[in-house]
Amino acid sequence: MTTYVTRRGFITLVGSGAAVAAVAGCRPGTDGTAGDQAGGGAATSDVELRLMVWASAAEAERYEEDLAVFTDKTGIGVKLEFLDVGGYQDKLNTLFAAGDPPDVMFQVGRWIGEYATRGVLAELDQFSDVIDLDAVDAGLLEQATYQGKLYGVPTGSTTIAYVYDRELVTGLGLEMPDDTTWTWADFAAFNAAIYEASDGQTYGTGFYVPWLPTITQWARQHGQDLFTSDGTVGTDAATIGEYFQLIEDMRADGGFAAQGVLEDDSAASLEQSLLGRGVIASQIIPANQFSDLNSALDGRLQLMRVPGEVDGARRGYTVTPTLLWCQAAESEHPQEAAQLIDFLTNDPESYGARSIFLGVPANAEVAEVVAAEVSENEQAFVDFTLGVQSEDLPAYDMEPAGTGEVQNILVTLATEVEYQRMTPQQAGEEFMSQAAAALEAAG
Amino acid sequence: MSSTTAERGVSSPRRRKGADAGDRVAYVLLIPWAIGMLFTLIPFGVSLYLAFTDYDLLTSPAWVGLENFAHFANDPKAATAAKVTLVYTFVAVPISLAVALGIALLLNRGVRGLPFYRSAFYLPSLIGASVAIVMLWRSIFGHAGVVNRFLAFFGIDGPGWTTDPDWALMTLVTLSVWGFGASMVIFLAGLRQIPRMYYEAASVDGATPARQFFSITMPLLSPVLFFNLVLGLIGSLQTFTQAYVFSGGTGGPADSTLFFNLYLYQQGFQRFDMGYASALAWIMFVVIAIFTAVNFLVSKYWVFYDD
Amino acid sequence: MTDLTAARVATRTSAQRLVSRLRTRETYREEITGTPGSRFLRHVVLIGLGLVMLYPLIWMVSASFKPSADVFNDTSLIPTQWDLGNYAEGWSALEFPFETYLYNSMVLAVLNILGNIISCSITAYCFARLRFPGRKIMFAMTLATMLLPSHVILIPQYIVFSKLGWINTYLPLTVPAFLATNAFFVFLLVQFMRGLPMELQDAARIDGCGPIRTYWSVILPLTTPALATVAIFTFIASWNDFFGPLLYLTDQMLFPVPLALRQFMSAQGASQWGPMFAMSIVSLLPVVGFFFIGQRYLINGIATTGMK
Repeated sequence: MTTYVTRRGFITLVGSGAAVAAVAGCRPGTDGTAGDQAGGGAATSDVELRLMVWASAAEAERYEEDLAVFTDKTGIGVKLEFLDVGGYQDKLNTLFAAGDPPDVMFQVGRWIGEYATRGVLAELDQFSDVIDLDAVDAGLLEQATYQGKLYGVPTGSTTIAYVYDRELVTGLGLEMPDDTTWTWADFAAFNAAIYEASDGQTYGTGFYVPWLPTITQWARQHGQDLFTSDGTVGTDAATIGEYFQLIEDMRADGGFAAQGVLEDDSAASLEQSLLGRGVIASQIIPANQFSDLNSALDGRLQLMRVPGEVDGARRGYTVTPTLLWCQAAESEHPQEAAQLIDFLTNDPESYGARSIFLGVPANAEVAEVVAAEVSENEQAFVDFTLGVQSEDLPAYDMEPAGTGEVQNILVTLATEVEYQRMTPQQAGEEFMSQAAAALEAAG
Repeated sequence: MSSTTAERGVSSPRRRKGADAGDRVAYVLLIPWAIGMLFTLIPFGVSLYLAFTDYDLLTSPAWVGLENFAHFANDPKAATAAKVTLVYTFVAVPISLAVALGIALLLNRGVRGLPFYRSAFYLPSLIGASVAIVMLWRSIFGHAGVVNRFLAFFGIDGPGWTTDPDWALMTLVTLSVWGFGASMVIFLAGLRQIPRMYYEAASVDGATPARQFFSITMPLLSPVLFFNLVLGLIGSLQTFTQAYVFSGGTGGPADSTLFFNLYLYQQGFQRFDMGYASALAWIMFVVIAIFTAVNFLVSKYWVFYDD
Repeated sequence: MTDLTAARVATRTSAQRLVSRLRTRETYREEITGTPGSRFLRHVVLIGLGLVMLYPLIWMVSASFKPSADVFNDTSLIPTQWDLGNYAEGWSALEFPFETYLYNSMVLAVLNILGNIISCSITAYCFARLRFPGRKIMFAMTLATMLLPSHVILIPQYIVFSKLGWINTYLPLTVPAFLATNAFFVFLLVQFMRGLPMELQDAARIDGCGPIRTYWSVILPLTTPALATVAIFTFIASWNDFFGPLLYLTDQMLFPVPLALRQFMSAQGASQWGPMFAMSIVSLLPVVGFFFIGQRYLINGIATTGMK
């Protein structure tokens, strides 16, 4: 795109001037505070941690309940600051910029690179005596590790899956395929059959084409990685082009929703979604949303694996952290903050109210305890995720800084292809050059 | 600041002219304004400084001279964003103003049920950009929304108003015209302020309604029209909330609603490049200042002040 | 223009008489003009337009009476199934009962209205009606503050307020209003004040009024429609402001309505649509009500206030 000189060389020490002082001067001494309180292991009752999450009021109530257990056990207070996801990153970044971040916070895996490179997140390895990670799946931790250092602990794990409206499909006289062996060709044929059997009333599938987890899995099935471990593009134009081509081919025979039908569905109520109304028979979702979706749709849905796992170059599936608990490097109470993260990870009682809402607990032993109490729909998600996790899957690294921008590029290219302003092949080539530039600029 | 200018004010030759004796009291009345200015100017100064730095929000800024501005010159996305913003402005502002003035004149002629109409027209401006409004837009402009269902009556297969890159910006223009109520209220207030006796005097002189419009209404309304024009331009060039809500912050579909302000927000808050974002903001500042200055210069020829 | 001058000559007496004549004009104001046919046509146009403009409110009211599941399914404007429970549920679904958030919003709105009306009108009076060195440059500076996109000053501003210890209080959201920082309103009032006949001021001066008396007894009463506009706009802006409270407030107890409404939304799970729409309607009522009350002053502005 452009030759924007990257700024590694410029970072840190600030010059003079009042303006600088306004921005830089308010940043408290970052390095000194971390060690100060390391000695006093015993919790003091006057410590109040700030925990920032995105949540609805109903969800926040559940978190509060679990946090009260923590305060009972340790005497450490926790102030939950919650807001909706739309303003979350804006506020978090402002707080970081003003040197006033929360002690513990939600992060998304693909943001970590951006924050970790800038040193604002605590390296959690240094709290290994506080945060016990022995029972946490190594593959999950790998996805919270950036350049050899651990920056977050998964709130739980999840994966991606198709949900099919089983009742609609069987009502059309079709049989549900075997999702452990199906190929992309089977997938395309099945979806086209739904469209035909429904007389064009229902498209076989319709999902958010540019969604990164889907494309990641696609690339892995082609023996590639979307991102290499050193943060460059690991796929090629042909692979991306084929993905877009598959969608366009399916669109042509009604297997995939026609141009323009798929709108941003995220804000609609579940019953009101395209899936709920039977406009599409299936969709791809984060598996942890299955329970809510299926109970909203009266149990009509069936979780299905993503196709192409058996005939591809290798397995593409990944089990990923739903979200990460991260700690601010500038936290004034690093030990207590680490204690909180440990509690949220390893204490079954910390799941009392939130249960598996943030994924299957990362600690396998805790997962067993918690999963014994869940509803049937939630059980389906737990079994699905643990089933995939138990299989032999190629390693998956944390996404590099710049991933967010790569996601944006995919969104734009998917629109260009959908509205025939670009061929799938052109989109593949555009992706390679644009994504490379974005990763370069962010790195 | 205010005290030094105040001293100058005392010895101002203007005072000795007699007509403006005592106006130095302005410096006292403007003390709150001066404090407010300070609150505003500090952040302004900082952001101007940041425009010449590499600042990622999370670590301290580092001076890079004109690099951010050089980057702008080679940034095709910034060019796209500028184009989107200008097209939108030049379409939306004239239409909105014309509609607002037209309706205000109609209402000002004396209509039964005036408060009802005025409120109805103003309602869309009251609602704000809440979550509810996003759902509302979908129910109107969605693929199976009201507009397309209406068009289907006539056998027209409506486009994806919000999903098709060729239509999305026009949909935003429509939404902005829909919010004409704010300028309409200002026009109405302006019309109400024109002393009735001017019209009476004119009627006595036998002036036609058209003549009254051009020799009384327009001159006396011109400061308000000018105000709406200047503010409309500034507001439109700075469009953010609508575009943000419309595209969920992406500027999509395919960058067709990537407004300049949205782009710089993305740079600053999502790509951690607040230095570049500040540079973009100051470029925008200069452009808008030029637009506004031209507006003020031209206003000498058509805006009528009674002083 | 000659018509104008003629009219003005007639008024070149004292401020008192002029204002009293201005006040009487309202008696003519509500007279209905046009033939019956043209009046009918006017109403047809206005009602058609009104329906288009009102559609959103009707849609939202309707949605608020539908069960969450039907909000988008049931496309008719009259709910097939009425669900009054949304209101009861929404009122108590959040951490605090909804009146807490309404009260908070009201406090913010009232303070902002007071602040803007007082500070902006005084400032505008100086710029529009007084003559002093530096006036033009100061006015230009005020206008210039409107031109910079606000996102790049958010962080420095946050830091300033944070250094003052104002985080998690209403101060960052209200104090600026008292310091005439809203250039939009200053500009609006300047335009209105400059539109008033200059004879008023001359007359007041002849009557022995100083600049402050003139402001208080002549300019301010005559600017009532514009001040009502400022009040209405401030109320709406403050009532709908989301980003300011988002950044500066962390205690639920202090949250205004827009932040509260977001708490019905879930990123991962099921959002409570019905209650959200119900509370959106509730939160619209004060704005609509305020506008209805405020617009009386827009109309009657001069007639009802007047001078002593």
